[in-house]
Amino acid sequence: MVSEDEQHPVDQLAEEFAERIRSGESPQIEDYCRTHSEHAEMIRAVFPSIQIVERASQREEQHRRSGESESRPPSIVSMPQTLGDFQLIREIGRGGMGVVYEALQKSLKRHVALKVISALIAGSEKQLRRFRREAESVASLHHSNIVPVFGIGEDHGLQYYAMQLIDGVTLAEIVSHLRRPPDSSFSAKKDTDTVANSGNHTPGGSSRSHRFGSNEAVLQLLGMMSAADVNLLQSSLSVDLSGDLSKTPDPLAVTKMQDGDADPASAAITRANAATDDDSHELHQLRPAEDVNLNRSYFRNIARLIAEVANAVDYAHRQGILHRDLKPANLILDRDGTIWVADFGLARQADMDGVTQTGEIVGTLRYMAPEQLRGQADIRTDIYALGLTLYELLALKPAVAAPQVLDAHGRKSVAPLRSIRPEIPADLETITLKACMLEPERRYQSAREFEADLHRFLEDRPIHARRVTPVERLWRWSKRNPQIASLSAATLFLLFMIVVILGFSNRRIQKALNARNDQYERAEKNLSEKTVALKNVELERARAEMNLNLAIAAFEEVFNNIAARGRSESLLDALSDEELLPATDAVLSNADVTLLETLLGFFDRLAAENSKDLSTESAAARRRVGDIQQQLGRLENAQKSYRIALDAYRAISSKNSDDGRPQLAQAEILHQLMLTSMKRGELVTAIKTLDDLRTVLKENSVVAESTDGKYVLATAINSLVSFGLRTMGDPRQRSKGPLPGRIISTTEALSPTLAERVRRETEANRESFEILQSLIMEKPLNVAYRIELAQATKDKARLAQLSRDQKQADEAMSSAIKILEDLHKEFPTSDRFKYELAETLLTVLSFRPADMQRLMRSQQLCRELVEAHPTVPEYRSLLAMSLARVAGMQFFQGRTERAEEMLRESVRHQEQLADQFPDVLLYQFSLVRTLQQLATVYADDKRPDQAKETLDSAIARVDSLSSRTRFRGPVQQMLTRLRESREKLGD
Amino acid sequence: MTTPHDNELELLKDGGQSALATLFSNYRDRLERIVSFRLDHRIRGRIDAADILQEAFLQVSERLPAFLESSDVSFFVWLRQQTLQTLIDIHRREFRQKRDVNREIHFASAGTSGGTSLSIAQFLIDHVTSPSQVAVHAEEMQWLQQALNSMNEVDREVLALRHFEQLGNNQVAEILGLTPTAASNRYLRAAARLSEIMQRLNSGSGPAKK
Repeated sequence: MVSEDEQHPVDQLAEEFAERIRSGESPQIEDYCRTHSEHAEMIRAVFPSIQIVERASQREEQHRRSGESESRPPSIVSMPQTLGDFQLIREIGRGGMGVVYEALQKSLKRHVALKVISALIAGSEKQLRRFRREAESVASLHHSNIVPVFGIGEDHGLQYYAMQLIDGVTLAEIVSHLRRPPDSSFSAKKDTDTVANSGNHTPGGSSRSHRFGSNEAVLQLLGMMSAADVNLLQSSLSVDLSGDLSKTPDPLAVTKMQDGDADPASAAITRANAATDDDSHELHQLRPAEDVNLNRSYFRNIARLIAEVANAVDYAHRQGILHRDLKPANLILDRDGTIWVADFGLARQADMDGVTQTGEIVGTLRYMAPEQLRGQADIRTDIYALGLTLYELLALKPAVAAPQVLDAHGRKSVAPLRSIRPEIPADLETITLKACMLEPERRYQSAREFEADLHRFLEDRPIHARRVTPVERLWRWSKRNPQIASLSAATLFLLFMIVVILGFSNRRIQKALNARNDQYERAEKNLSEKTVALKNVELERARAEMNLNLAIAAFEEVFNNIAARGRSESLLDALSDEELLPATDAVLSNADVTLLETLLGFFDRLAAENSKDLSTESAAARRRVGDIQQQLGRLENAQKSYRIALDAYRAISSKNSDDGRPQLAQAEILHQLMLTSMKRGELVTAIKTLDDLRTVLKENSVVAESTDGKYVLATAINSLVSFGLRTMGDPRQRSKGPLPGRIISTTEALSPTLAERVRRETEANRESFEILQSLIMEKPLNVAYRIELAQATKDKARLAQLSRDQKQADEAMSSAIKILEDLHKEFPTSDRFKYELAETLLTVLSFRPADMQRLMRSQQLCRELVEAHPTVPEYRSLLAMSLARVAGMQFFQGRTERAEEMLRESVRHQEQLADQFPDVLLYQFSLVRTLQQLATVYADDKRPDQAKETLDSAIARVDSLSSRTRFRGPVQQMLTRLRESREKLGD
Repeated sequence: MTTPHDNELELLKDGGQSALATLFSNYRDRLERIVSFRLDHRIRGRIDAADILQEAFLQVSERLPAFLESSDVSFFVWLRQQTLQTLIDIHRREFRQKRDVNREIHFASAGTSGGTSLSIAQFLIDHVTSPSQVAVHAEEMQWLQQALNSMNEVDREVLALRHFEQLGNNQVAEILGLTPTAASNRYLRAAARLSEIMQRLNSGSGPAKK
């Protein structure tokens, strides 16, 4: 008797019987009756029908396998031989949207990849619309890394489009090749399987094995073979490169292919190696195995390739087209090392959603961002997919583990790359992880940003993506800590902003914070063991986190921008025309201002929500806002912010009088208040503020006697003196010199008021000079002190010059130069010192041979700077200035020709800057001034026509400027002066 | 009872979508067979089994989490259900314009006996109308069709599942909601009855069976 779960014995026999028929045998019923005589009767009853039914079924099977009959309309199983102008050659791949064939375009005799929409899709109006739109949108893309679409067509009732056939391997193939254990790596069949499994349906992504294969690609990426080598190798084997199958392929490759057990690509390489007298065994060693050590060259190559892809994707994004299915299988590397983005198969207009309204999920699940799994996609969805692709190429394993693939909520952050492969460069890891962030707000916000960071990595420059720092961990902890999490999102924002701000500001406070951070981390360890997750709180936190990260990204970007351009302020010293002072802010673009204003809005809300515990941090944040406002030229707002911060610190110091830090902060803020006052032309206020600063320092003797306190005082005095020097004298007087310029005339007597100011300034200068000297006695190597001392010394020289003390002026100038020369010698790679030195050397006091030498040295330093950093406008501007000044000297010495030559070069540089930065007044004015000089030279050389022409172009420039700028007054003055000169020349 | 099904569920729970892809491709041939068996011949020109499987796979990957949460059938049987559901949907879509009441009914129950008899008849007709097959097998086919038509629905379904879909007894049992033993017995009875009917037809008017 059989149990409930068992098959009848005859059924078991019947099953075997049917199996044998299916496998093509002709089993005899009587044989079964004989061997199983106890069931003979039943077998005779059952088996005949089985035989008949199986035979019928089998014929159906054969029928199906042999394809449809000709009488039927074309389907993707029985493709017509030709579609329009295209003759189909073979199938390359299949995908959700259709089948890709290699085809010959008869009219142009070129091989193309033809994507034919599947009959299923053609049957649905919606899908058809998507297909057509896809083809149209992709055809509108023209980018050197996007597989071009030639055209769209319809024939035999089939929709298709033709695109360029790329001879290359997909990155998915490369990953699987690198991952594959060495012993199985020679199977060509494996390659094909890989392609099929990856769902690959790219135009060129086939395993056309006699062409460029994954082996060569991998060797290329590892830097063991150049693209040129590959090409050479292939042509030496007379393997068809053009993709034309009609040529005879390499016989060896064909043989190997037929064998089916050898990778023809590697066979080809082996042969090439033999041809070049290399040991062919070496290839087996070169051949990457499972434990392959990826080298530096590989990482850089991958970074380069993904940067190119990001560039292509960014381009598409700017056309309003999302890729929506970026993955290694859709990226093809060709033999020249060019990467191609294929299959904008699911692309749709980013701003228009006519077809996929239902939020249906398309694309390859593994590379889909969590939000895409929920049916939403934007630019950052592509960035996520590209990030995962980069991750996989570096880790050689998928970033998202299989169980999480489909779960939009269960996705975890990807594992740190360097825990998988420690040899991966840290910056590259940081970039990758940023792109793979689960929250779209924390990723790169554009493919261009992604690309830019990859380039920064490739050029060994600092990247913009940040690692998760201890400070950020503090914030993250605070997010998880229930007490702090119960605060509002805005408060959290405050806390975080402080953390960011501290990153940029006072090191001591940061140190204190780090100490607190350690405590927090210890506390976190305890807490995390006890933490019970509360879902609502969790959600609230997630939202807060998103906002914060967005703000941080913006903040950092703007701040970096400002930091990079902050230098131009020192340029003003060199130029020192009072009409230029308000132009400081012009170096910032309007976009920056908008961004920062958004941030400031946040800050305002924060200030309203001040929590007791965070008062110090809040004050620091306020102060930082003031700094930014000052940089932006929003001086009034900056002053307000500074005053709020000042009050906050005052409150703190009254509570805690032992700690000197609030006083120091107050002093520093007062210094900034001085600077803003001076920028607004409020000299008296600035002087008063300096008095306040002194008072604050006196409140706490410890602070007053500390090096930091002294330093603040010295810098404050210094800036007041420098400013005072800048505003001294009438520009009209100065322009009476041999050439318009800033050489202070020594022949004219000082007006009484001016003499009084010079006396006051000299006194102040002496004070700061002495403080700085004592500081340097304490810490002779402190760079900040030395730079500040150089500044004070330079001011001393100018003041001596004004006091007609030529000897002291010379001495001071020499010693300022000496300080900077020493710094430059100590830090030869520091561009900052080089720049300061060049800039100081330009401050010529008279026309003596020694001054000429200094000018020439300055010019040389400027040239070095421009050569090293051709894109830094400040360097170019300084070079132009040094050229103009040397020209002035030359002209003074009667060498008109040489002067003209230099002025022309100066004009060239300045024109470039003026055109590149039309909003930066400084560059416009410098250019106009140099043109004026050049006109003077022409006029002197009896070439009035050229002089007129030059002046006219200067006038035209100032004219167009006057309509654009806020600073009508100075511009108008300049215009008047130019017109006066022009009139003197006549018509 | 430990069956491959339990292992499959484990695999799916651990491996998610990639496990699904692997398992799906393992079953691909069988599913393709099932689909071609049940696909209406009038739309075969436009749609082939691979297209339907493609679409079925999308369905399956979307519904996988729900399946894993509450699976009362084995993975394969579920896969088959989903695939046939996709097929039904496609049939509906294809025939929406030229609405055919009978067909609606048949397709609504595809996978059960009504659909099965239609499918069997259909592919037998296909064979008859296929020039290369006519001479040799026409009569055998005709008898088979007649024989099957005269059987009851469950018998017909059992035979179709075992021989046209080439499923194992356990799967058939699951689909029909029988114990394996009962399914096995049912199958043997149906096969015997079919032989009987065929023999009767054969000895009656038909030519001698080889």
